[in-house]
Amino acid sequence: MTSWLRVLVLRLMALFRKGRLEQDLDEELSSHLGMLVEENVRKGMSREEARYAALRSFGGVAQVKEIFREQRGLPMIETLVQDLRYGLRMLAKNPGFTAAAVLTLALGIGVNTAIFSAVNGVLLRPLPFREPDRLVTMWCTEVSRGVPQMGCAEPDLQEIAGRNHSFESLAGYFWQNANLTDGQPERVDGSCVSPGLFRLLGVNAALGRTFSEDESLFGKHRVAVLSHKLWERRFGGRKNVLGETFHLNGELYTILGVMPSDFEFPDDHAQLWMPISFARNDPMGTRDNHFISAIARLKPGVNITEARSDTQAIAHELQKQFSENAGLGADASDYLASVVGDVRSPLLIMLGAVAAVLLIACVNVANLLLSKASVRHRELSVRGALGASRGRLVRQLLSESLMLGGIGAGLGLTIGGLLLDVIKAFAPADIPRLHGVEIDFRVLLFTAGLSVLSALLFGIAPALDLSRVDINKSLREGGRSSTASRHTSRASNVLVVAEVMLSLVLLVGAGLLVRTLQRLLAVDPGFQAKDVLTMSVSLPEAKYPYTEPAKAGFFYRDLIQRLKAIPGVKLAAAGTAIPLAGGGWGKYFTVENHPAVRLADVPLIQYRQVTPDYFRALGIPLRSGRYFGEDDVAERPLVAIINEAAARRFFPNENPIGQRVYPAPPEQTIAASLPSPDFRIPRLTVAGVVGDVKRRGLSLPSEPELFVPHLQGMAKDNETPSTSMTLVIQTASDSSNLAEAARKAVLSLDPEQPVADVRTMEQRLNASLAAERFRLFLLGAFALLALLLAAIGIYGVISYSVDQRIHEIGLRMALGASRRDVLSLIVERGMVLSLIGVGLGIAGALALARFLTSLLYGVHPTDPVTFLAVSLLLIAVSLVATYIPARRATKVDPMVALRSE
Amino acid sequence: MTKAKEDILRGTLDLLVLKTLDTLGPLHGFGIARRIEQVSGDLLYLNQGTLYPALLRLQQRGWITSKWGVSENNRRARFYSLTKAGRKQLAEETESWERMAGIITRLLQGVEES
Repeated sequence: MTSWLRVLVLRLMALFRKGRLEQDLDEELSSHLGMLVEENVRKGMSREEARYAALRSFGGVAQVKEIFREQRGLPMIETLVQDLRYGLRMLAKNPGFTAAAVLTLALGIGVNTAIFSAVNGVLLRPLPFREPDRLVTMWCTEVSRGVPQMGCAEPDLQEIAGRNHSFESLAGYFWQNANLTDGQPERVDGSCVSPGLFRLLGVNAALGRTFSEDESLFGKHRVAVLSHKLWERRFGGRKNVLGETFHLNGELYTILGVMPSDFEFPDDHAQLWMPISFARNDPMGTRDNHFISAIARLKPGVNITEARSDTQAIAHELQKQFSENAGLGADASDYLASVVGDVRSPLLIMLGAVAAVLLIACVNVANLLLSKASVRHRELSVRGALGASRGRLVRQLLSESLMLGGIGAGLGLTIGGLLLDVIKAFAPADIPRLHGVEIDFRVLLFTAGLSVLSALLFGIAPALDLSRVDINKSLREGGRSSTASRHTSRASNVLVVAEVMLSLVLLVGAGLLVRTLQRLLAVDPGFQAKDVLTMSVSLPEAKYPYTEPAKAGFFYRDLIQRLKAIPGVKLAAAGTAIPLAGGGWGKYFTVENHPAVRLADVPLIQYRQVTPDYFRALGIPLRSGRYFGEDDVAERPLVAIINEAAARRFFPNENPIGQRVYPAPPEQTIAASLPSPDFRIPRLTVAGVVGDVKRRGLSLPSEPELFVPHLQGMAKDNETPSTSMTLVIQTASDSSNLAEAARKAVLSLDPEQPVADVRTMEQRLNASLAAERFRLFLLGAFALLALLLAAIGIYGVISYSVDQRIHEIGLRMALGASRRDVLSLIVERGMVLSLIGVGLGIAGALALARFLTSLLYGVHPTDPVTFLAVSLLLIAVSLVATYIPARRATKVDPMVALRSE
Repeated sequence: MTKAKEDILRGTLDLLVLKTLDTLGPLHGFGIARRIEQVSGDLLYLNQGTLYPALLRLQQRGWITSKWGVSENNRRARFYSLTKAGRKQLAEETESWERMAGIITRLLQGVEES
């Protein structure tokens, strides 16, 4: 059918010949009217009469033209263009209103854009791997000893990889410090991975190749794949690095390949990859050491539930088969969820908060539109009289709103981009995937959607309200339609209550976070952070093998001596897993007097090796017994120190001092894996009890800890001295350059030995609160923004109502009302509204605060102090916002007000 | 109170215009309006202005064409005339109108009989 096409083409063409067609129309209609007039004159009417009669029988000329135009062109496009042009003119004519509305919307949309970008980039953006939905993470558990999630042992991983029916492939990985010593010694983060990891992820090397299966065989394992960054930084980005060798942890490694620049695994810190490989007699490769993380790819059609029960069943089989596996389980979960698990709920809470901010912004703009309503009544009545239908008026008002929304979104995108930069710059470093967050297509779509949604939200009520104009009445009253304004003020009341309510909810959230941070700052970490410098040293196994324990033992003993000689150093020590630095090593723990009978019943303890001045350097108090001394060496009786948590747990009714303990299960429970039937694990005598330290974070309880002298690791059959230690240096105040001196001390002992992670304890303490501070910063900023918008909203509505009631107020004053009466009249209305808002807000906050529970410490989500303080704050702010326009009302001169009517 | 004039039945204006042009040949808008009112014995009330959107619609569909000319009173006016397609359309619409009128007549008689 070509008829509709023909019509469409004609109509389209009409759009471009408008002027000529319009002229034609005018001429045709006036010719018609002329004929009518002539006819009437012939009938004997006067010229004047004839004209009126003609106009009557013709009908409204303007209306006819309007209908004609709609028929002629494409009304949708034409009215849109027309509405937009008209809207722009309206907005330009009211710069104050426009600026206020656009800025309010831009703030609301901007914070939403920023937070949604983060949500999108962290939680939603698919991992850059092949079919990321099929990736799962797998881990081991030791529920009976209170460990819900830990790494797996290499032999167990092999068993699970071989026996499962759920995984297409499975790969292990763990972090491995990598000392690069060609040139300036430097330590970077590396990762040891199963050779198949890259194939599992579906990512190939950008240059060269990744590992082949046999490269995890010990002896063939000295090969490495470089990150793009490391390749550019340390190897000059040369294409011919493939096949070259370089020194890595004291051994010569061959470069196999370079990964693409966007490849990150396990996260963006990893700069090179080595194959997982254990020598035949390496204890790290046995069933006793659980530290390997695992990722697997589900077979097509297998879901996570099936995979979990498969994994759990295999762990059960292994328990029966191997005595070392007593109490060990295994489990799996979605990989992306495991990566972002910790930040999911804080991010969603922030998204909720900014949604509330946008709602408040919309409410404010709606209020602005409503307060403009009375001015516009007249204009709309005229347009109605000139032939605009009600739908047409609503459409015009809505397109104005859409334009406001669009401009607001444009500006909001800029604000959002800036805020996103702020977020990325100040966010704690441990938020996964945040560095890759950007404003992408999905964010743009979201923002565009928001602008339309908010335009409808703030635009629809005023538009419907305005378009309900009674033309005659409104024209007669000169635009001062009393019914409409009563209508308008009722709508304003609801809006004010809503925004007070929303901002109260946000303020309660921020208040609870303030209280949380207060509580955390009041927590005693158990150590002295002031003037303590720390840095970590990781000696390569190749140069300091565990088979020659004296090498590592004497290295640190000599290093401490040299550090103490540096001017400004008060105390120097070293320890494994110092507080708030992460890491740590759990070991079985046996009290000689109360040995467990079954392996599954042997408890765990956190095991640390430290040098003698460790506790003094960190200011960890001694509770009983003694600290370690310089003469606690390998040749002397083996000693240990426990913390109070361990004393409470393992010696509830005894004096721990003098008790004999050891970091292993009782011999009879592991008879099969002992080197010889009469082997005896060395006993340690408890020499002291020290105070508990917040090791993992201020909000987490202290665990039982066992400390042993690093040098006694050289004693026969004892756990060998750790090669990786963190130096703890107590300095005189203001000695900031000590880090360099300490680095030189390390280099003087081993010119190839880098130091890493140089930070003061105060920095570590601050970093441990970074997440809480950051959340408070964000939510606090959003809540303040909400408060500000609400205050502006109340001010606007009250101020508008004062304008509306000027006449009434003048009348009241003329009849004898005092300024006080007028003041209380106005203030009362504002306060009633804000009190209703506060009441509803408290109810809302009570309902919503429980979602915050996971972010709180030491404060209940319904904390009355917070609720009370926030309510008072809001009431005070609304009082001020009401008082200013109310004062203006009292300045009304009755004569002027009455005369103006 | 008697109803003085009937409004034109929705959708029939097109038919009236086509028939008028068929009978009288090229005619301007005023003439068409006048003719419709006369034929109805002034029983039909035509808001004369509403004729123009209808004329435009018929033109867009290609059933009538128009050109400027001079009226009997020496006034410039746009004259509308029926096209071939318009003649065909008129035949179709006349037939369908008669069919519909027949149905309605029979229906109304039937209702009265029962």
